[in-house]
Amino acid sequence: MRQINEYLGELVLILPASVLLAVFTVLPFFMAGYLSLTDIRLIPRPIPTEFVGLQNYREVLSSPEFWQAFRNTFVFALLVVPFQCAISLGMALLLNSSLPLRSFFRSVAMLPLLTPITVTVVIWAVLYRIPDGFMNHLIKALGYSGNYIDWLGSPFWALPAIVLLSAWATFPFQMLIYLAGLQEIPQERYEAARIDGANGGQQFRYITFPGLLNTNIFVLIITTIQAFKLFTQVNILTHGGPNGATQTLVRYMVEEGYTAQRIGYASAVGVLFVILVGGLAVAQRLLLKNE
Amino acid sequence: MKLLRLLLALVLTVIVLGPVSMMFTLSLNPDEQDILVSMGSLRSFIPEVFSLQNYREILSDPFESITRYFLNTLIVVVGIVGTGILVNSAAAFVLAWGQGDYRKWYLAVIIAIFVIPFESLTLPLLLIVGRLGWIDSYQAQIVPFIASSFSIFLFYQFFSKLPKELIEAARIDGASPFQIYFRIALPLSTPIIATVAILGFLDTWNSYLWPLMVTRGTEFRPLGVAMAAYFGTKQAYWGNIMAFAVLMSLPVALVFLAFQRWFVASVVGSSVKG
Amino acid sequence: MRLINSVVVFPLVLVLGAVAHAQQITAWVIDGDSERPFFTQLEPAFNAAFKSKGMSVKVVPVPNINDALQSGFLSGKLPDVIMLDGPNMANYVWSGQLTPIDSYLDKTLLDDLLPAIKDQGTYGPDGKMYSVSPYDSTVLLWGDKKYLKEAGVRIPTSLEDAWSISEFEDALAKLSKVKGVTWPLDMKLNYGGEWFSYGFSPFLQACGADLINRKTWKASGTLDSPAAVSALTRLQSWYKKGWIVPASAGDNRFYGDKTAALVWVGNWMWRTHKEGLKDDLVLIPAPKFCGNKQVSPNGGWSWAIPKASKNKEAAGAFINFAMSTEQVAKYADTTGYVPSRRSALSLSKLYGKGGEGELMAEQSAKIALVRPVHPAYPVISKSFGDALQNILNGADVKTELQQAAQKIDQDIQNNKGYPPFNK
Repeated sequence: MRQINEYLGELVLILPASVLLAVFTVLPFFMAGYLSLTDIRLIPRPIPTEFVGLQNYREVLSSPEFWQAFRNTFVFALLVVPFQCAISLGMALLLNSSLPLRSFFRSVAMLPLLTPITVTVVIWAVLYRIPDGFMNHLIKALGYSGNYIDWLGSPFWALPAIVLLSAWATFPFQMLIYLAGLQEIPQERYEAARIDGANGGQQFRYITFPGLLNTNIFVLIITTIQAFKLFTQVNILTHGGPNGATQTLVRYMVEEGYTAQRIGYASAVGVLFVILVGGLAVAQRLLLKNE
Repeated sequence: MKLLRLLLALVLTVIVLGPVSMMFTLSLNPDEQDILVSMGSLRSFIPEVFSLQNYREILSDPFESITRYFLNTLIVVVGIVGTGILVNSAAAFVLAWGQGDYRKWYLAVIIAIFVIPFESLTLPLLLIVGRLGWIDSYQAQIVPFIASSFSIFLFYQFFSKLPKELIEAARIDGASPFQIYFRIALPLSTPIIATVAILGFLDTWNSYLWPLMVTRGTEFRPLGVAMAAYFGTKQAYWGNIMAFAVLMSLPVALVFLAFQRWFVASVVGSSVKG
Repeated sequence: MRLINSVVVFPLVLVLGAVAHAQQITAWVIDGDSERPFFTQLEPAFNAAFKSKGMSVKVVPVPNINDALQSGFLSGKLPDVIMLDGPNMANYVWSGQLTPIDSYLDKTLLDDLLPAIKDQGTYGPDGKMYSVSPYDSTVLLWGDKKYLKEAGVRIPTSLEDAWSISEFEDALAKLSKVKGVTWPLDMKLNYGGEWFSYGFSPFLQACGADLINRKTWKASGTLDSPAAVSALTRLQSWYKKGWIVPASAGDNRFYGDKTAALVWVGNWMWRTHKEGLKDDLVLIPAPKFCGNKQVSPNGGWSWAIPKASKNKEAAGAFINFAMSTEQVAKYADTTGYVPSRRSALSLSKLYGKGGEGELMAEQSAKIALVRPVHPAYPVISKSFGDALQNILNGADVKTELQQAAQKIDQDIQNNKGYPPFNK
């Protein structure tokens, strides 16, 4: 009897979360898989919805727009991940060293994390303004001789411009993780190295960097996943343009499924996206487990 | 060497502070014409005029009620974080200290769910929420996010580290699982509650994609969507846009100042453990 | 403010409703600066006029109303009266979302409507009217007289002596050299959505192409025809020369900082332009894009009744009221649009004989071409809009138009030809 009561008691505790997860996470997950095999629309049509097999996947994989979004997402990740991780690591090293006013600098470095992403986007829109925004003043001061650069309006510059703003917006997050990683490296190792006469560069190479291995893997992978999910910045600033130069996978999915109402087709994009991001997350687990 | 580091730190400060101080500067300048002229020069980074005109204007705009957006966001944050803490910690407690063998499987499922990017669930979720008649409501913004595999996992890790004797003793005294959870485990978990609450707050304050899909009018619109819409329609009024931006950022800064220690710890804790 | 309104007023309305059996309907209207004054007077005007009949309305301006309507169709939560963008009507009717409104409208009103507005609101398959617009719109060139004089270009005054395409091009070249002019022409690339197909399809239509063949409902062969390719190639060359204001430059280059000399945009900018340029503002008719042919787009936001409405009678009465000659004239004078009723033309200050808007009314009457009334219109509009933006940004004209045409045809095929349009 007592046993049964215990089980019942547990059931009551675990039930709310289970139901909510089942309805709002597990169900949509399997629905996405199923819907991707149909031609369902967001708003019902007067003609019946049909099962279309792999038709949506064939269409997605032969769509130049999908591949453009795919390519942009990858290029964005390739640009932003090393850039942002390097900055974050550099900042972390700097803010971990002996430095006057260190806690002040640490608080300042947190500012972008405290700025909501939509606000960051709006601020940078002003910096990128043409023809007279700050960025255009800056390049002229640096010797640019042209009239102005249309940062967000040129197919060449739009993505790098988004990279810069995204790196600014989120680097403190990675920096904090690196700071935590740095503090976990035992101080004795540095002392021993100093006694052995190692200079700063050598200390970084033989102690700091190996000591940060796990942190590095972790930071790289979450930054990559974050990069793959790029949506807010491009949706507000460039609407995926110009010429689709800043279209991303998530935005493509939203545009097809929500704006154009083709839920079936967009679900196929979504499934491919899950495979991509899920694969990365699994890779992270495997890599970190091995350590 | 030390000087070089200080110099670097100063450069960092300028790069980080620049855009933020520009936001403040423009928000304090009531003269839109002057904003356009000064844009890009040093004058747009360091305030010369201190006028609250822009703030007054946006706060009294009868068509764009910022207070309403604030309230909406607040309701959603409290809804998600408040109920989320209870629901997730309860489940996590059972996973850590329950009796059944199913727990291992359950935990594996939780971790697997954690890997699914939310973005890919938005469209089916939209159909579900539409079927429930929740489009344009608070429910649509709250209920799907109450249960979180991530929070469950964080609580689970914390509860697993509680001393076994503590739980066993309560059990022998005849306490029900609910009593042990509510009277013993939960009161001990302030640090993890703070972590989950702060992360939930940041997440919700930043949310954009989902509320963009499920809110249409201004009635239930949260700050993030409102900011983007405001930016889209009011480009001739940079002062007002920036005043809006300042108001939207302020609460986050306040939470940071009030809970500075927890704040950093939760950002770091969330990731390293996850 | 809003909150207080809904918290206080809403229960009040419920109570009153229960007591007096008054019929309170809600109307969703577009939320724009230029329309707002009209709607703020419409609500009390209707309520005063229909108090004795126990009817009242609550007019709610809805930002992004297209999205709001979609979500309304999805969730079934819609008011009794809505405003929809004219060309989307066929799509909504096809999806079974709207109720025909002919039977609710006064006969005199129906007879008084501009023909193009009737066309816009009439659904082909059953010939019934599903939406009605209080106004008609048109697009023309607005010029800054100061710059035009300095450049020494002729300013046409009537439809007949409008610029030919080469004269237009020549004017742009001259204007681009005038001091103070950064861009000779603003084409409102900063707008999004419907603007591109609305504002740019005339370039195709004047040259014998179109967004879609309106008999076979096929886009391939029409949208990507040589005529369309050459028209847009010319436009692209202008953009390449830096003659057109880029999207990222924002809205106010013509009326604000005056770095643009001409702007291709519709009536809704009337007030803004007038305030910005005062006496320097000059209205220039749509150029003859091909040979002697001029086309301007038309139509706009219209009143309609969702099928889900439970107060259709009251909704009909409200639309009748909003479409009365006085209200239609008021709409025109508030926004700058052309009144959709002939009888309102004389009441309107702007469009009456000798009014400043005469040219716009003339365009509406003589060179307007309604956008295709077909359920695929949202896809047609989006595909063409995307292609156009890509073209301006330097993409290959023919490839882009072919892709757009394929996308449209694919969508029609995916919807089994949108029966009964496939007949």
